[in-house]
Amino acid sequence: MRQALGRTGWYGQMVQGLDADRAAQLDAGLARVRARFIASLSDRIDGFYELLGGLQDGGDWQDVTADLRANAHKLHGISGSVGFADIGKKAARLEARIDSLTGTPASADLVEIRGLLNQLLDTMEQSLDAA
Amino acid sequence: MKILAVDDDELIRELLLATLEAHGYSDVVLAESGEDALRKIAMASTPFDVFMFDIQMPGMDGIELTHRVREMAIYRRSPVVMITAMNQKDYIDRAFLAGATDYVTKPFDTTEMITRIRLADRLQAEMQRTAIAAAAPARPEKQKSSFAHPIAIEEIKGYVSQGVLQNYVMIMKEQKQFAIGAFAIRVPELEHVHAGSTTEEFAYVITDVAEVISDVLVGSQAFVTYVGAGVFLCVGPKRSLPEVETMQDQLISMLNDPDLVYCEDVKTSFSAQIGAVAAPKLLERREDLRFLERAVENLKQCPAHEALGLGRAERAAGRFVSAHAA
Repeated sequence: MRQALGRTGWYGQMVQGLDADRAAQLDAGLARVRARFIASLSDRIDGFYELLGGLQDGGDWQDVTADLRANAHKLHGISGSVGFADIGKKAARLEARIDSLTGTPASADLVEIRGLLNQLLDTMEQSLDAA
Repeated sequence: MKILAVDDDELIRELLLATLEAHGYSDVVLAESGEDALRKIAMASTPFDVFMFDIQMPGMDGIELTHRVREMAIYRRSPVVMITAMNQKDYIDRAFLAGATDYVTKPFDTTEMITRIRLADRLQAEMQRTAIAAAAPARPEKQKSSFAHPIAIEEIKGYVSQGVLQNYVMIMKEQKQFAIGAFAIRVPELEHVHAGSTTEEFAYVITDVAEVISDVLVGSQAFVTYVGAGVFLCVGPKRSLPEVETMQDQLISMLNDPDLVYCEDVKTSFSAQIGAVAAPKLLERREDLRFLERAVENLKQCPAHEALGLGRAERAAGRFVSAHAA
């Protein structure tokens, strides 16, 4: 796994300044977290599709956007820390767009949110395929 | 160093544990919520040295958790590092106002995170020294703290220690969300107060003056610290800092409010000098805090002393107002 992770980018930054033993220790820990994150992607994708359905069928937008925001927030927090910066950025965009809603969203708002969610889902699926 | 790390995301908790342990912090306790954290704090056989709280969690969030921890005497001054994916100024300000001492953002930059933990470690050591000094029996007058030294002040809205203020400034500089500015306020009469009072009495007076400054700065989103020698340093968004003249008028009026009892035997006749605002320079590194020193240096441009009765224009020009009876 250590070799697979490489020594550059996010991983190189994570182990920077550590001696070999400590780096190996962190190596193992990061590999474990990354593997669990990848394993969780499929369920996260399913959860987002469910919420996308809620947005499309005119469900309770408040509940749906609150759940969507909570899921995007969590994804934003963890993705970049385990080497999936693109997912993190798209999740952050979705989160910020939902935060910008004031009052009942116009249909254009929901279209935009659906668009951002679709972009996020595309990136998650691509990452899952590549992992 | 014993650390309590709280985050509702299991993967983040695992990541924190792996990172902290690899950097030599082996005594790490994890909690999944604010409520879980309070249980673990209550059950701890030895106190925690540093806290790391996620801001946004279901149930009790990190800001409320910080409030609750600050209510515990043993943790009143302990370092609290907030961790969150958010970087909006509003969240940062609320976290610092709740008593947070530092802030890291997700996704984690490990080098940065460990730097913040080491700073927290230093802050904890500094706070322990202050607490030990405060708990020590009254010292003979000749051993009184030097006038030049800062004094720990607690529980004033917007007041933070020097270390915390520096952390706040570094975060603001890093996030480049707005232009920050710093200015210093000197109350020259505090030197005489110091000379004629005990350490405890002087601390009361400094606390009251800090409270007045905090009241004057309300709404400006500024933070204040006492740097010693009668000087308070204020930092906030440049655009919302009050006008010097407005501050001077309010400061003088409030510092000399007859209802404000500083301490028996301490004359309540204070003036105030307000230095020009100093700002970070372009391309300055995040850790470069020299503009804070420049803010204090700017006090040297203030006239040494003027008596009450000068016209407003003259006072404004000198950036100095005295409330001494003519």
